Amino acid sequence: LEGDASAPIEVVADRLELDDRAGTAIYTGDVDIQQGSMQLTGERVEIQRNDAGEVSRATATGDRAYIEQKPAPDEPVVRGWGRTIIYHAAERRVELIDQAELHQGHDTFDGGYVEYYLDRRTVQARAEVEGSERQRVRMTLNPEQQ
Amino acid sequence: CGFRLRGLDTPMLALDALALDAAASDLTPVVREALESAGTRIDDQAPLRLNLGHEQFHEAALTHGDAGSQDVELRLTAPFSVQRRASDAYLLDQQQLDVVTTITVSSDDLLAQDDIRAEAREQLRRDAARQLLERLRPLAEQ
Amino acid sequence: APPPSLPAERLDWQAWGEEAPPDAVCRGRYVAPDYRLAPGDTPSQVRSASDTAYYGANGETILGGEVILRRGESQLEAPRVRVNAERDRAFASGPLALRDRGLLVRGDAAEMALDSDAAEIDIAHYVAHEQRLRGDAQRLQRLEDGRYRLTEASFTTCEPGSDLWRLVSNDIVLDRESGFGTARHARLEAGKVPVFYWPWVRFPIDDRRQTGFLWPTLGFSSGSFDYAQPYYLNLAPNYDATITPRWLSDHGLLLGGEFRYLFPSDAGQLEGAFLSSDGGGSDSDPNASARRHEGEDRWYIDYRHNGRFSPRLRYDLRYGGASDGSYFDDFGRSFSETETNSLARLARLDYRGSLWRLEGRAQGYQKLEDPLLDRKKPFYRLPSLTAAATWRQDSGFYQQWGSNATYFWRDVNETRVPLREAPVGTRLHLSPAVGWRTEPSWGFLEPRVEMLHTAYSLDYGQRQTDRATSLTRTVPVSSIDGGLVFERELDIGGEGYRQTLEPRLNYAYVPARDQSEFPDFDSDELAFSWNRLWSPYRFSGSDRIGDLNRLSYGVSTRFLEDDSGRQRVSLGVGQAVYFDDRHIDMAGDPDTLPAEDDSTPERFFRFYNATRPRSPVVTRLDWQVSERWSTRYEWLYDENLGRTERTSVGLGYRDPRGHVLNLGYRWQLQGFDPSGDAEDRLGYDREDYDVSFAYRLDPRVDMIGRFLYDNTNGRALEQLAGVQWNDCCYGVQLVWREWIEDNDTANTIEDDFTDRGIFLRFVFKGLGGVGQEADTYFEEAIPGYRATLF
Repeated sequence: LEGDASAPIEVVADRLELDDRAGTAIYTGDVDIQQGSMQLTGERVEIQRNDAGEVSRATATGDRAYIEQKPAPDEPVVRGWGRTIIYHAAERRVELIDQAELHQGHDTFDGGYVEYYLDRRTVQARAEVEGSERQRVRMTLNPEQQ
Repeated sequence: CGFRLRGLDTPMLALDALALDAAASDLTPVVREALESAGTRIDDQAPLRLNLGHEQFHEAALTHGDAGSQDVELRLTAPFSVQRRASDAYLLDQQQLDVVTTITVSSDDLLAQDDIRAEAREQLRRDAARQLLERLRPLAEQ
Repeated sequence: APPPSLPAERLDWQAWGEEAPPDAVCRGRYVAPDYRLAPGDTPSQVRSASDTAYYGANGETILGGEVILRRGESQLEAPRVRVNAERDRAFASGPLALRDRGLLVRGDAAEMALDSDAAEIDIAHYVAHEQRLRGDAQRLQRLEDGRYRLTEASFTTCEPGSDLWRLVSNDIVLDRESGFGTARHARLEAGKVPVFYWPWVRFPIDDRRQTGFLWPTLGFSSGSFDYAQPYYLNLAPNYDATITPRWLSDHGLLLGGEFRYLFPSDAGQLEGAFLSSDGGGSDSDPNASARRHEGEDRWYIDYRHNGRFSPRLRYDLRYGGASDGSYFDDFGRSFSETETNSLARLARLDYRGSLWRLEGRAQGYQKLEDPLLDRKKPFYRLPSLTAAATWRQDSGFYQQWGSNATYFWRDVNETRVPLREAPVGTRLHLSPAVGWRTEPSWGFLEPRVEMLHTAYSLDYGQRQTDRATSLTRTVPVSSIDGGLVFERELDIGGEGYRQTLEPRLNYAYVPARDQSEFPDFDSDELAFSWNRLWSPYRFSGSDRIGDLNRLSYGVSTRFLEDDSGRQRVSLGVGQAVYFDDRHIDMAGDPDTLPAEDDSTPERFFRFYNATRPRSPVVTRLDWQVSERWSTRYEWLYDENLGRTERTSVGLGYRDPRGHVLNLGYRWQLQGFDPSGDAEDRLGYDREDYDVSFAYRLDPRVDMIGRFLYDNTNGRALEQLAGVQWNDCCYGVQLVWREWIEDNDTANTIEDDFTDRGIFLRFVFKGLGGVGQEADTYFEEAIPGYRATLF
């Protein structure tokens, strides 16, 4: 939602490592981070903050990291999986890398790499992904239910 | 010279029962009667099942001319097979009854032609039934 | 014009290579590969696989890199696909491939609806695997209702790479549902050369219709050119019609038609043709008054219908008629049609009970002779009612009832026909019989007595005669038939055989009854044969019951293979000894015998057959020499006069691959066969040599031939030579035939003349409807030959 970026962040995790100098916080072990309507889970989540102390980037990794967010009040939740999920708060851009899967509206995407812009609702998917073999992009398109 | 009466006491076809799955054609009653008179009971629970197809007649003109009488070769063919009822295994598969006779038909006696053909066909059906019995005999004696 | 075709491998074409099935006429087949992507959960759901995918700014979905789109039964493969925001259309750029149920379309660009079956492909090349159709089109549209519309397109069933024929048109619509295609401004190209043009043409694209669009039939006989062009009208799933305008250079335009219908329990067919004011035809028949039907209307009609009220109660209707007796000689479309010598008329109701068999029929024939003399016209049975039943007891005792009541009628001038054929009237014929048959495995015995009672009530019309108009005759026919079956095991060349020895005796006694005033509706004297030895009847029909007091004796021996029971040899010898002369002939007077007169073979035979003490010795041999060779031999030898009355020798070769060879020799003494009218009995000893063959060069080429030589008069009665190409996408049948036309007078050969004809028929498979019935004449002319349907 619009107000997510400034909403308070609750985190549930097994361990926390703080690195004030780099401004990063690394949670590991069944991490579950909530910020407004966005939820991010994974084995390990690294949060970076900008100078103003707001979250600038969150990187979740794990066997099946997961992100979920409600783009607008009247739209269904967008859900994404991947071995690595990078959430760029400023651009409101989500990268799902390796074994990527995205459920957006009535469509599903899966493939090697999927990039999704929360506001513009544009999606970019491709088969190549560094460090892993190609995974063809597979989509399921359902006709618009106007 | 070694000849002796065929099966003085045993029935012609040592097959006491046979299941019959036959097409609805005029050959079927003739075969049924031939089997019964050869001592074989038609019974759906019999170990062997005879499948009999439709009779087919083919005519070939042996002599020439559309005037006067013409010799015509009349041939009856009918497909048959024998299966073991329990396992559906084929003892005789895709066999064919094939009997032939020659008739003389004349365009001067159109009315008689029907009777001559009908009589010849009836005779061919009896010949086909006898041929079938002879083809079944080896199965019965196994 | 349609774009050039693609090479075979792009059209799912797989050549057979060496493992071609034996009778394959095509050099390969279309094999559709499996789908490359599973279908969606619901028919309207679309699944895709690609290297890249992204949503465009305005909600479009762009897929790139070996894209596969799957929707229900359709699968689209393309380098790039764009799906619009509303998700109801997909745009693909080529080179693309669209697959649907049994159809492949390759093209340069395509637009495919996602909410319906509609699609449109530009520069398209298509293949329908099952129907073996292929072609190219500037634009191919799959319409919402599943039909295909092709613009600037071509269509053929020839193998990829072969341009033997194709149909080119700027607008083709293929409807796989009804199995038909239509084309506008269509031209047929044979090897790129335009051969034919239609403003509008309709053709079947599968084999559901056995006939379908009949391709032109060409004929050249005795100098006249004959061209028929059928048009097929598919009116409804269960009835259709074919209109066949036919141009004959020496007759004019003959309009033919055929209407067929099929219902659950009955089916029928009406065919006919009409030609107004005949051009006279060629004068191939020297005896016929030249151009005897010139200016007349010529027509024929043939209606058949059969059906069933219940499994036991069946009926059939038949009405055939023609304007004159030589209609089929002039207009027969096939050799078997030209040989038609009568057209049947019949209305029959047939009930087959478990005990009673009842039949009512009204029957008649139009005899096709030109001119047709009154006395040659057959009688009508208006009607004929028959009832028959058999009761059997376990003891072997049986009773039979046979009864027939028939009103015989014909429209002739009764004053100008022989007296015994002059009346019309009713005949009641009862044939009750009792008998006892026992058939143990070692033989059989059957005494039987049949009491034939016949009553007539006749009307001689204008004919003045003192013959009685009501007559009766009661005659017992008694016979005893018996035989034994001896058997023994035999070993011939290492093979086990069972040999049977079957002596048989048959005594028959029929007293003579005066039938001199009896009419002749359906009776005729039968020529002697093996079957006559064991049957008490010397005449066919019921108007004459021949007196007989004879004993037939015979023996047959058969060799049966032990393991299969197949009969390899059957040899029978039989003869009859007559204890009385046979007084009843067609004249029916019990007190007279034919005059002893040997001025002609016929007159001698009439006397000799009535008085000879013994019948000819009949020898009959059937020998299945090997799996493929078989021979048949019949010999009637009169040892009293030391001469052969009739003999026939046949040698047959049958090869499963389709080769057939028949060699035959027939000899028959003049006068031997008493049946038929006097002017139709052979006026010479018959000595024919008969050779017929069918040779299948390979699955595609069939050759057939027949040569029937009349050795007595030193002339070829029938010569036939045909070759048939049955290739993958076309069939050609070319037959030349030359035959003696004996003008319905067999006994003299002076009025015979030679007729000949060439018959060319070609079929473009897939257009012409596979399975068209080939001319049945060839199967009748060459025993053992089964025509290949193409």
